[in-house]
Amino acid sequence: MSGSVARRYAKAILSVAQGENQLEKAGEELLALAAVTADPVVAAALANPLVSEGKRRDLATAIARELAVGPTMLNFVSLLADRQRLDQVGGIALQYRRLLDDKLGRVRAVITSAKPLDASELDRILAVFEQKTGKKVLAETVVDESQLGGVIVDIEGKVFDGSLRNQLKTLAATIAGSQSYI
Amino acid sequence: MMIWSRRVAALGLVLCWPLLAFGAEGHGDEHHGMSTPLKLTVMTINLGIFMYLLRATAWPMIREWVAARRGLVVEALEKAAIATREAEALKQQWTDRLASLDREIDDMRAQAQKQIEAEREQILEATRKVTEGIQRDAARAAEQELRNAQDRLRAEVAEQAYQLASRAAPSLLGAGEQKRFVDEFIEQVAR
Repeated sequence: MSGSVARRYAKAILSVAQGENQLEKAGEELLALAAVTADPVVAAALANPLVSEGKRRDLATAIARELAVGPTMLNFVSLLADRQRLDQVGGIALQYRRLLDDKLGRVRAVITSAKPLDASELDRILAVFEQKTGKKVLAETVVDESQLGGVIVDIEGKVFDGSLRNQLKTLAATIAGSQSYI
Repeated sequence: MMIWSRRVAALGLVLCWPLLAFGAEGHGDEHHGMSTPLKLTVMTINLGIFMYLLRATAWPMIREWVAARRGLVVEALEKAAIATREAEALKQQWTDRLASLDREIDDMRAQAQKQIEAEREQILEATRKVTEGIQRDAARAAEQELRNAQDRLRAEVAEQAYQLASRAAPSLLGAGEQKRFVDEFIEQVAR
């Protein structure tokens, strides 16, 4: 399925969820469904042409019920099963999250540091990026000791690299590219 | 044309006149018996008439022929004189050239020497340029090689420095440094 089709489905479920005032809940349910359907065994069963459409729909709705999704999401899963789009739940979930973030005026960021950041440092980082983007920043923190020190912030694909490793690499590149004779 | 016809006719009469005169004389001898003085007088008159006719008719032709002949001779003589002068001039020219032959040989030798010198200079100049070009290329190649070696060395030094710093950093950096890095990062992003 192309991104535009996933986006159309995401917009549709977003519209319904907004009407029910269940925007966040629908997003969480979509992500849970995407996680389950991404499992290789489940994905193979849902995509197997030897399995009848009815059984595939039964399997999908059974998973949805197991995840205790609301009736709206259950109907949405049935719709996807009827239209043979169950293998694209992951894409729809990502598009939904993006649309929801846009709607709620927020961005997602992955903050990588060599050592765990304390609350104060994290707040300051979020504050500066919220000021920079004008949106609320939802952060996911990652500790990577290979960065040696400093912080890397990846905010929707735009990377701000303040790690010591990057600084050392820049320094090494400067030394290597220096025109002065050794 | 008319003049020439008349002259030819008169010349014919002059040439025939003695025959007529002697013919008349023969008949006279046979039939009349003319005396010697009279005969002599008649002969003299005949001769005078002959001379007059000769003077009046043949003489202008002879004179013209002689004049034409003389003109041809004069023309031939003039041509001969011109040819002689030309030959003498040529002779003089060659005499002069022979006289200056040594000098010409010396000049030619000097000129040839000069040309050889010029060609030698040209060859030397060309050789000098080629040599300079080769030296320049060699110097350039050496410089490039040196630069490449320096680049490789710099890259190696930079890589070694990076590796050393990467290994040393965890043990050297504490919480204070991490805080400083975060502060600097925030400052840079906020800028």
